[in-house]
Amino acid sequence: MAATLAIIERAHRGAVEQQFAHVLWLAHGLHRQTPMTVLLRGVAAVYALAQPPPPPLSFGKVTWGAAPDYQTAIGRLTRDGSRVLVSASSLAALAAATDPLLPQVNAVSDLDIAELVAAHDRVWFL
Amino acid sequence: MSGTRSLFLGLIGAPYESDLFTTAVRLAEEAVRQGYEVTVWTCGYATALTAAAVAPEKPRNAADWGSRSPSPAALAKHLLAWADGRLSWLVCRFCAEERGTLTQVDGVRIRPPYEFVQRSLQADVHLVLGTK
Repeated sequence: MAATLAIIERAHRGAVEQQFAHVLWLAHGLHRQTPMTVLLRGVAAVYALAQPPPPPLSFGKVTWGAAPDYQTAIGRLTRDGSRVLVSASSLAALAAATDPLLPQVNAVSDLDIAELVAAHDRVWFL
Repeated sequence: MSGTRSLFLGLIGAPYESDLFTTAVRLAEEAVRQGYEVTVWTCGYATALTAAAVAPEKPRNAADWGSRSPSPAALAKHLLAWADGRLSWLVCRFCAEERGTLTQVDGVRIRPPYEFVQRSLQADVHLVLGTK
């Protein structure tokens, strides 16, 4: 498989600074150039959880930019043919093993992850 | 007793690494709203948030071309104007000089590093958001 496995482990890298330009937005931009499989691990596993959309950023009585919207980004990735996966053990470590996931995301075991690494040509930690 | 309490917020952690900056500006805004006089002091790469070279807006989003996203520097200027004198945004000279961020947006002031401790101890409440 001529594809890249993008592993994302760090979450919440500055809502005000990043806004739309977060790591899943980057992954989508990369996917449009070369096929990407996205694996959410560590704290970034929370991006896979079904949550209400983020409220807009508001400062000094006015709406000021937009908070990072990871759900929309995941929807865009999967709609364009990327697989988005989440580590089941990371969800368990976050006490979120039974929380509902976004419908586009599948949970994978640590053994699955080892097989994923072997099945991809490149592994990028984003 | 003047009745006005003061809050010193030290921001040392680097931007684009965590939600420290978001937390700091939320705290600063709410403190101003509650009547505090607030000082934000940035050290390290947090001094780059308000560098004059930072554009008022982020680069355009190719996936949503019509949207606009204000930059952190623009947010600092917006909060300074909104707070009407109850917010000061100060930048450590040592850190700024070391990182090439000595030229700052209007309203943000460069201060000598020793003032970090002086100002934090003078405040009624101080909170330093560093790196862990």
